[in-house]
Amino acid sequence: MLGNQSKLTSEQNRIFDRFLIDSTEKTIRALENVFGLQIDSSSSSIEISPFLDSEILKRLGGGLLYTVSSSMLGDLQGRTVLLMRADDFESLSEVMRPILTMLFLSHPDTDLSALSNGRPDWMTDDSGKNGSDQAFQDQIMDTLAEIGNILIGLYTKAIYRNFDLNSHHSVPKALRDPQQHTIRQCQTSLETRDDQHLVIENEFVVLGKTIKLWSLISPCRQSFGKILGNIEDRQKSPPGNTAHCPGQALISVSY
Amino acid sequence: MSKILIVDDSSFARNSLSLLVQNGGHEVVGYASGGLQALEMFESLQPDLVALDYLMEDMNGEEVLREMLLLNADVKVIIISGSGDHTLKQRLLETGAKMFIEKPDVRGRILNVIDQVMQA
Repeated sequence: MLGNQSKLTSEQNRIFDRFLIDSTEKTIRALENVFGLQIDSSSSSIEISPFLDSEILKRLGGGLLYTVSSSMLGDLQGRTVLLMRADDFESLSEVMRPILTMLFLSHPDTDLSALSNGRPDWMTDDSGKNGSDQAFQDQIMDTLAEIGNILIGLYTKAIYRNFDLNSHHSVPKALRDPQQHTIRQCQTSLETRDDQHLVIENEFVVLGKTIKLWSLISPCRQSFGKILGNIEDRQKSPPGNTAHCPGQALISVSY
Repeated sequence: MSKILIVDDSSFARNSLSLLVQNGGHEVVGYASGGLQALEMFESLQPDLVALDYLMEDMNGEEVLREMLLLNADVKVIIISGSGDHTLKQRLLETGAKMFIEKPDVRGRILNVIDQVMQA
């Protein structure tokens, strides 16, 4: 079991690097497909680290978070959490507003005659920015949960492709988390302080808005051991076309 | 034109799928947000085809599919899934689903898949 990130070998780094590139590429493609939006560019980092030592997680800062949590089941057991800061959630809301408006207006159950006195508040720019309209908040939280569902599924697929571990996830829960309880829950659920986590930071640019998303993949101790064991088993397989980052566990790529 | 029942616990997913299939000339006869509601609507609405999400709170798609097959052995069900389970697709097709689409691919594939399933 690794005690800290500096103990990763170059081969382990290479596989985690490949995992990051694989999952990020699929994530970009998935978001483009699901929302019909072009994602212009992105940068991504992955860190394999004990929770409290994570440099990437420190960049989240304090304050309000929006989170999507899910349990991982199967060969790889543990927890996956997506984390978004309030300003990134605002940006997501602005990007999604026209799409959600179109879906609302085109839905056959929508009573268009009820809109004769004006559109709901959440369809106007100002109310949504204030986050004051509950209907829009519900819609965007539902969308966030669906984004989480798709992304967590993509991560589990990437885990299968890169680490040979077949897993699936439970129904994701989206949560507005003003006190960062989600992070505290992750801390208290640790078996030991040295347990390793995969921490990923993705930056997407959509319609001119930069949106950052943090992903925390927290396998149980035994499952992380399986990841490392499977990397060792695959060391004789041909290397991918990714850069080596010998002796480091903090890996970044840009698109 | 096919009569389609959409089953998904996400309103975003239901609404966006609804828009896609209606733009393709199909009729959405009902929307269900969970497995139990889906089974009730399946009996009462008798759709030509069911677009069924896999991961839902009350019942998963496999359980719903099995119940629907008991009600109508000829039911045409397309499973739509965001799950990363590598074995899921094969298992659901063996259970009786007609097609399996991963969620990121829905926009590009759903109309062709509906046509394939309805013509089969």
